[in-house]
Amino acid sequence: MTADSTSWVLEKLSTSSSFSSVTKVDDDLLQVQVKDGPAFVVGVVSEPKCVTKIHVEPLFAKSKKPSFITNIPSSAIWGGGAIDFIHAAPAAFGRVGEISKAAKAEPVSTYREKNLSFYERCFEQHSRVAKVSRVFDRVFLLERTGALKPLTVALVEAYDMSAEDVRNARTVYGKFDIALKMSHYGSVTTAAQTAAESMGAEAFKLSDFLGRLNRK
Amino acid sequence: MTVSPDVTVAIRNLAERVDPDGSRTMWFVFGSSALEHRSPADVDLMVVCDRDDTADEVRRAVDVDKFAPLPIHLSIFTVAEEEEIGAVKQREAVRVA
Repeated sequence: MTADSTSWVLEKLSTSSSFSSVTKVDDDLLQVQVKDGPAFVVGVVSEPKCVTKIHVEPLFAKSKKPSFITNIPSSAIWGGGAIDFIHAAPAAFGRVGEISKAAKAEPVSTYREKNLSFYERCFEQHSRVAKVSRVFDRVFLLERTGALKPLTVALVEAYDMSAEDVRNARTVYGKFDIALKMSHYGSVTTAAQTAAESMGAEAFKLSDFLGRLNRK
Repeated sequence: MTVSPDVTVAIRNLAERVDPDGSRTMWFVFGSSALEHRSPADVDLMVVCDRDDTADEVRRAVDVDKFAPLPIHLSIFTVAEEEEIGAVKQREAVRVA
């Protein structure tokens, strides 16, 4: 299965104008030569639902160390343990479509998805947040200062967040306290707020959520 | 706004599979990504549904990774939500199914 996924990724990357060659160096590793730049190794995982640490760890035990890990299918989620392990390696992770973007990072292992990094930084810089940890790729646990209880925040990629977006986040990631819209523009519909309330959660856009962090 | 024929056909096929008589859903594309004269990397697709359960059905039916010819950014609203935020007008969305 992984070998098939690796071949599929190889085929996709071979069509990219960013790379001069892509070579399979193992069942789950590809060597990517950047045009006018250094080569790097991409590790391929084939987990249908959730990528965890045990799926990515073996990739780093090989002689060629990957700088970027991708999973097929891209709809699968990434567990916080896998993400922490990859970042500590050091390496980056993401969809196949992000590999060209990652190739521009120096080094590739430092690549982070811009939007997710923005929200993570916002959480870390908030005066009421003591610690931020990753539960899944788009779910963060925010431990707050004083007696304020921790909040689990699911980031929802939507311009206008609908009730279906909230329900889908719950289906994909499980329970959370806050559904947070990942766009500075647009709105959260009334039905989205109602859907969140029905699951014991709340739905916000960033400006409102930053205020919510100060409250119980 | 002119929508790429490839995109239109792919979305119509998808819409027909999910809602064969077209009575429960309206399918729109929006943004520059779907313009015929550009080379889009993805498609911004908005589906307006009659009810919540139809919205959930659309989400289950659309595999954003396998959609041909391009990856999809999918927004799903009920009619009531669309009326509240005016997404079709605001995004200058074009109905394709």
